[in-house]
Amino acid sequence: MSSTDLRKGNIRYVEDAEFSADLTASVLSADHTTNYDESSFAFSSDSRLLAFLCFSVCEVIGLTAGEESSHQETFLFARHSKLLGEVSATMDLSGDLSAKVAVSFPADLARLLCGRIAGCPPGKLAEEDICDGVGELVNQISGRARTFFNDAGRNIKIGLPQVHLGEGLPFEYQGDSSCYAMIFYCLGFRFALQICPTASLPITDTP
Amino acid sequence: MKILFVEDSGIMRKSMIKMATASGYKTVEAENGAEALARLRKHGSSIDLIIMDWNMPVMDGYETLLKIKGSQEYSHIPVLMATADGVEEDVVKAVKAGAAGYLIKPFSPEDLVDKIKSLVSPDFSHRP
Repeated sequence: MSSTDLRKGNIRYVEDAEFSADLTASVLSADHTTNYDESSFAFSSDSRLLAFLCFSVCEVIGLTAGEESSHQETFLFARHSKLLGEVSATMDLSGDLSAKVAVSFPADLARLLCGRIAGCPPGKLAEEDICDGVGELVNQISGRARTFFNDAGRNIKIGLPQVHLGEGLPFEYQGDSSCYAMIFYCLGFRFALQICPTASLPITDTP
Repeated sequence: MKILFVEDSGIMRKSMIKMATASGYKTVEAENGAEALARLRKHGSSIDLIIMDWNMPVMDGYETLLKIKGSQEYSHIPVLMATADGVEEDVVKAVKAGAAGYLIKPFSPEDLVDKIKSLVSPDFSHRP
């Protein structure tokens, strides 16, 4: 799926789902036919935000880690979500858009990517190096998205990254907000960019 | 040629130092602006370029840039801001404060080396 598909509103909607390990596995796998309702949006003002983030993820992984990644699918969870990976970094956005962004990796992928960034064998990295690397990735992804938004006339500030280790950690922002999860594929693994916006950004679909 | 890298992310410091040393440059590193000033006091006369992040704890890149450009001993050293924050107002702010260039993350090794070459004269004529 390309970022153009996002602008057509091809987002899978998950309502009132119990955020179990099965759901996490299902979201991260190629098979999306179980356990949840599906509806598409004719147009979402969030689609521009998602397109910016999609581009940022692929650009950052490509240039910083030297690896290709591709966007697979996007989900919208009606209720609060959990971090989908084992090594995650979160960042707050504020200003014209108020949101929490997370990049969430399986541990093995986090280690591989950080090895690529540091230019050393992944096995030689300490846990703090991996936390540092994942924090830097979310910093760069948020920074690039901020640049896109500011160029579009929207003022956004980004906070400092925070790293979280562990599976199934809660991911929510300002109460019972909905949450997008964009699933990407890289080096044989799937990882997620998750975002909880508090309000849709009023950017139209036209340039 | 010797480059001072100022960056709070250890893994990004390793990455940029690797890019620079692969092109034959010598490097010194610092985790924040305060450490950078300490490195300058120690190595100042031999540093030809400073590559610095903006958002850092203890002392950020902008404050450090102001201190470097306000000093008599180090103001001649070109400073390249390398940061994930690429908004126009920050770029303008950095240039007005005396930054010689601005590199927005993410960047490739080729981007970094090209920028280094554009800022430092091969005969080191920028040194006092």
